[in-house]
Amino acid sequence: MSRRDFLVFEVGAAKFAMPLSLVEEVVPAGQITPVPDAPGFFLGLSAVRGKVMGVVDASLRYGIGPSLNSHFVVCRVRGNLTAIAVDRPVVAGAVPVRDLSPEATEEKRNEAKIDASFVVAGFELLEDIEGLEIDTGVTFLEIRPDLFVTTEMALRTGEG
Amino acid sequence: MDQDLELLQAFLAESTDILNRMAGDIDSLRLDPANADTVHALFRAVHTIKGNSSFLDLTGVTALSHAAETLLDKARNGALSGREALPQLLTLATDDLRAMIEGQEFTLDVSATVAAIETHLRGEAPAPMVAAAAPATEAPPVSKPMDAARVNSNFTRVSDDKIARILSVASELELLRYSLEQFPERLESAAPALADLRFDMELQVGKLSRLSRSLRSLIFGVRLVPVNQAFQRFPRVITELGKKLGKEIKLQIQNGVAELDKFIVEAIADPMTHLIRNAADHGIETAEERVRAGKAPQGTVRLNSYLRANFVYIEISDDGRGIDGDRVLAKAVEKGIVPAEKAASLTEAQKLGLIFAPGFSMAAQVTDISGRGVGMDVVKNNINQLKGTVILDSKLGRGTTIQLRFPMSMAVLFSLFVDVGATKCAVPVDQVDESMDYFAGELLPSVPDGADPAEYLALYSIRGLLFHDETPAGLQRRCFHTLRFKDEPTKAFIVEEFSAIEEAVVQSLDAYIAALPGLQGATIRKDGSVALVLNPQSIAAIAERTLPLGYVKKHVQVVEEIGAPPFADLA
Repeated sequence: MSRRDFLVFEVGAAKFAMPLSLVEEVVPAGQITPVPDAPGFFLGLSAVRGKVMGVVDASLRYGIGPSLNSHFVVCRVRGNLTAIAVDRPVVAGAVPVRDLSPEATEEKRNEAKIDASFVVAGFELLEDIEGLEIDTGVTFLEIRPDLFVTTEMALRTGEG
Repeated sequence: MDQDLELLQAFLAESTDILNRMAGDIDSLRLDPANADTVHALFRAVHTIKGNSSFLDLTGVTALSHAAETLLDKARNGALSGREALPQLLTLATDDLRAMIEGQEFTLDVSATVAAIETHLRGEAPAPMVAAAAPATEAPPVSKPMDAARVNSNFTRVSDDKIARILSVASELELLRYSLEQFPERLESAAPALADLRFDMELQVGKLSRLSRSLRSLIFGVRLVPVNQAFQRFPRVITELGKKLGKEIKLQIQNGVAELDKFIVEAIADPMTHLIRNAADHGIETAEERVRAGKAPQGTVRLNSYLRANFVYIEISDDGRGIDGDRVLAKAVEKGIVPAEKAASLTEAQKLGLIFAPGFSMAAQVTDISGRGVGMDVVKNNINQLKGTVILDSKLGRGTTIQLRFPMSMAVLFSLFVDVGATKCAVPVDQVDESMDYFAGELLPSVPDGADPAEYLALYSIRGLLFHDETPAGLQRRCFHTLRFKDEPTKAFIVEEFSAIEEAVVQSLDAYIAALPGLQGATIRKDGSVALVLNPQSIAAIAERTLPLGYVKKHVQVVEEIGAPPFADLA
């Protein structure tokens, strides 16, 4: 068993985790202003603490069902602050986990119908986390916001 | 002498940074010896040190960096055997460079290191190295006793990150001020009996506003410096270049009132030096050549900086021979940068753009000044890293102009807020010439035969141009609100609604968002939502490629000569 620092959150019915070191902060979702010629998952611009940043819809980006987008996870994507809209942040901190094999990760990924390119690995929660309604044995998929780099490319080609 | 000291200070600070970066690159080279990017980065680094040191007559530094550069040049061209020795030789060289630069021991004997590099080079290339041998062997001892008066680098280096955080707090404060300013009025309309309280509050909020504004301008004061600070070293650079090249070159510095982030101004000095060297070396012809072409014998290099929209432009132009697009193309095909079968389809601008490709060089001879296949790609990379853009324009026989364009980090612009579809947008007031309503009945399918086109306006919908979702119903309006942008006398742009003229703190966007069409930035509104700051030039350019919705005859404007022009009190 190991403990690792994660931000765990939900998007639709899927549960994700992101290395906590990549997260700047989590804030309630703010108003979003759409921008011209952006791909669908790029929702537009929003202001977080006086800074304008792009907002990416996690559910559209991962290719899963619609979500509430109730919170923004603010993280650095290639040096740029970017907000990722998610449903519900669940917990941030050291999580007791057991790593899944690549095969098991693949299986979970297929189950959740998630675009494989965003998934780094899968792991399973080993203990209840105090005060939170999470069962042990729940599987999470680990993603990294820097994998959104394709966002930039897609946007640039939108310039065409 | 003061200028010399200043140059030396700048050289020391810059070279220390470069050496630190090189240390990291040499480490990565040990792990991944085949990485071409690393070799390229190292090459550029020593190239910069060499170029700058040669202007300061630091012959030891120049000789050693020249040797290291030759080594790296061979390595990046795949012509260096015994490549595994590269990290070790580079460490040797950078240790000596560091001793000279950080310790200001410019007279340090570097001949052993230079010899080690040359031996290695000769080991696999018996042919004499034309470029490497000359300065290394005949390097005279440094004449200036620089270490007698040791130079202090009186720079305070504050991390960009820290300043960014201060700025973000300041802009949050600005936001708070905006919303607080509305409170007194809201208070009175909610409870008219509290009029006294309202006035008190107004007074206090007014004080807060002034403080917040002056805090903002103070922070900007720390960060913004005149762009022409970066120009200071160039008169001397041009004089030296003229002497070395045997050309008559005059430097004209124009305007130079624009201000930019201190960090950017420091960082552009190096790419600008490259550009000026290129202009003098490749652009300006010899006096005889110029006279034959019917030009004045003395060539001119011009530096200019100015503000336009939310951008600062820095222009380096020369009245030299210009760049021959076809020659550039031929060279690029020869070097394998462009496949021969694609060559015919390139436009003139694309041909010129090849100059920015890595490894491209036009110079027939390798010179000490420029022309070793480094230059334009370095310039472009450096400028792009600063969120800037390089724009090249050249007319054969007439000269070359290079524009460096930087977004202002945060500008406060009085802006007209408009609705484009459901999106709030802002257009800086100084970029709007006119706002006017036209009625649906005035709409014409084309300019009538025989009429003066200058009296008509082509109508475009901004919503249609940017969001491609102009509905037919949207065009059934009885009345069109339009904007006419500066320098676009025959186009008018439809918006859904005009709202207010307000101060907008315009934030520049991350590069990948700024690449979207029609935008020059974003601003946060009083309610915390984001409004897009439109770029009229870019919108007009999109309109240029689009059919207008129709035409209207311009309304004759009644110009009243009484009082101030509109918005004058705001601007």
